[in-house]
Amino acid sequence: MPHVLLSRRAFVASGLAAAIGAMLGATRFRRPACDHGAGRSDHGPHPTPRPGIDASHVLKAEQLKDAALAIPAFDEVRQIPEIIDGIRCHCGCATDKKRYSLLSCYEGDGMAKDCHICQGQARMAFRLHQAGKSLAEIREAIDAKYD
Amino acid sequence: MRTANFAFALTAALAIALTGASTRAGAQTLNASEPATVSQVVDGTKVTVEYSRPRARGRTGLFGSEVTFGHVWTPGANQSTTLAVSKDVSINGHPVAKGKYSVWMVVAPGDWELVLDHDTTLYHTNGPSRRPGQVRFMIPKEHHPFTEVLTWSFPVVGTSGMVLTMQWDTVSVPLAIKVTPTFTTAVPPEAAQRVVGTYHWHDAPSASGNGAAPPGDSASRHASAFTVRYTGRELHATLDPPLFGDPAYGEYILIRKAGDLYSLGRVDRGELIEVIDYATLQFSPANGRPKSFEVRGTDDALWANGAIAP
Repeated sequence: MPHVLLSRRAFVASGLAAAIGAMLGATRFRRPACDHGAGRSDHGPHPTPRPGIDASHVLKAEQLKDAALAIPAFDEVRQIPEIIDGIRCHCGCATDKKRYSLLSCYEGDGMAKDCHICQGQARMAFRLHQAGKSLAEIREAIDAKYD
Repeated sequence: MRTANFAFALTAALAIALTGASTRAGAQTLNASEPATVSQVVDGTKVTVEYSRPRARGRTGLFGSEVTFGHVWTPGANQSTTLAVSKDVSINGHPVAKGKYSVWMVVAPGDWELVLDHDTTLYHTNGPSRRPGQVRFMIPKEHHPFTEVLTWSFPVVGTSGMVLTMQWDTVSVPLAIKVTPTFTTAVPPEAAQRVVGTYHWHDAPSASGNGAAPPGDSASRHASAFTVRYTGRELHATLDPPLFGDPAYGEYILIRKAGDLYSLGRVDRGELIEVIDYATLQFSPANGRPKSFEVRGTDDALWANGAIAP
């Protein structure tokens, strides 16, 4: 590896860059505040997508003013409700009989706006759907990551 | 006169009321042996001891006198001490099934015998005789500086278990508890060969969302060599330079979840100390050979990616 003589300015700049990078890295590599006991959800089958299901009840951006960071997840769910409705949520809420599928987390009280697991599953489903994966393949990938 | 009588009556009434109030509010709660609970979790298994804490109060040489040899004694006071384990464990190598037990020790000049009984309602004077269903085995005791108040504690905590210790007078009784692990580090060779190699690791920009990191931006991102090797049926990985420039974030064990999906186990000075379960490492081999990977958080955000070094 070649040795490089740094000017005082470059040395300070590199030190600041390293410090900032460390801070950003430290922020990222931290357990999310919303964990809901990830990987500890009750095991159960994925639901069958309901015929004619749509995104009409998915919360809109104007309803998510206090959770702006979650808006992309809700936007992606709005594009593939028939897929999201075929996924069992792994955050632990699936034991609530009122919640039929992962889609339910994006309707009503919109609990997904505060839950990284709900968001992660939906965004993963969207990403894999964009890559041409089937619902069965998406379910398998989500189970592997979140079980 | 009437005013003075009234003032006296009012004062008396207030005094009676206050005395009554303090009596009603201050029910007697001072115990000779106060209750206590200690608890420790390791890898999802919770171990809890509930007991009352007797004090020596000037007494010494308790074992062999106050607590006679051969006595089936609960290490506590009042109700029997209880031990609850949320999952199957082993104690000093002996299997103990998930559940709650009353704890007894048969005191002797040499090693003692630990007795775990399923009846958790026994009073300290009612030590159980030998009966089916009990867990019983010999336990060593150690000499320890004098401890005034009987104390249960967890002085040692590791990634595969803990040491639970009872101390009173000059006696210490350590119990080595091993928990049922929630993960395995073993990886079959056919899975390992799909991922072994040296990769270029790049942190994704923080604003990447869940898309791929933009090309041509590597100068501003942390870049490391990520070397994965197969040793003793385990996948070990080194990140050089390590995250945050800290050697404690440079060594890992890959814990297989399914297929080519792994969790990262952080290794510090040769010991697995943490399973980073809020991120996963997805390898994407090509034709069964290592090619690339992505690290994503619980929210599916891209944290890092990389490709096999040419």
